[in-house]
Amino acid sequence: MTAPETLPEITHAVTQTQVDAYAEASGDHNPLHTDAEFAASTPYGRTVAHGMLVLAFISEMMTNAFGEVWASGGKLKIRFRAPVFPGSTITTVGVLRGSPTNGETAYEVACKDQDGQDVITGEARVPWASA
Amino acid sequence: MTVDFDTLTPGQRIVDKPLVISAAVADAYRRAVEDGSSLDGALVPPTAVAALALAAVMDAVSLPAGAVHTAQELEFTAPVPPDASLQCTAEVAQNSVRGGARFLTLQFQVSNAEVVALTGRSSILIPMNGAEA
Repeated sequence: MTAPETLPEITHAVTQTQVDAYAEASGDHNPLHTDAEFAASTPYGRTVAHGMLVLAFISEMMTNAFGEVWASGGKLKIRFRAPVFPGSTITTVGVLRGSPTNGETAYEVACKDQDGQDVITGEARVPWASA
Repeated sequence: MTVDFDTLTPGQRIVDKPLVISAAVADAYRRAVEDGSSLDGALVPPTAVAALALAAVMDAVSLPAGAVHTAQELEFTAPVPPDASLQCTAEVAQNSVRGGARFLTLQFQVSNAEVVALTGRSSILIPMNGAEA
């Protein structure tokens, strides 16, 4: 099966409720994410979503495209480019990057906010050689 | 616990502990990230494994509240079912100071019965003055 040129986008509205739930589920209780008073004292001025929460949206996109192959052989290398504030709407992007190499197919991946700004950029690789 | 970050050296083991992700925890994670993926519910989302391992790593080094996660590498090598008896290990990969900030890179691994399920490498920026991020 041929690897798709582009991966179906996923869009999530990020809320403080979601950030709080993520802190509980992941065990990451950095007050930058959950404590409005503390966050107001930082250069961000308000709470920021966990990077790993936003990163999960890319993994969701990859899982939708490649299923368990992603969970058992996927690779992800990303940079967090900008903070994601509760109230943001995040959309994932995945674009095929060239031909498969060494049995792996690479995608340029990103998360963009509602203004089109990159908040995460990077590359995902999946063990998927087109038939 | 307060960690003297100056004492962290590349190769230093900072975590070696068991990790169990129950079905309830996996479900809580799925709800939190609004995971609508097609992955079999009998498996823990791979990023859930990464997130919980990373939380253990960050807890081990007692990152200050203003620490910022700047980059992440993950490699998923085996799916993880709920309630598996996992082992999480982590070590310091890099620790340097420049421009008024510490740049810490931590690498971690999660294994399931001696089979590596996930490896990760996290880059963290720690402001040197107080909690400012």
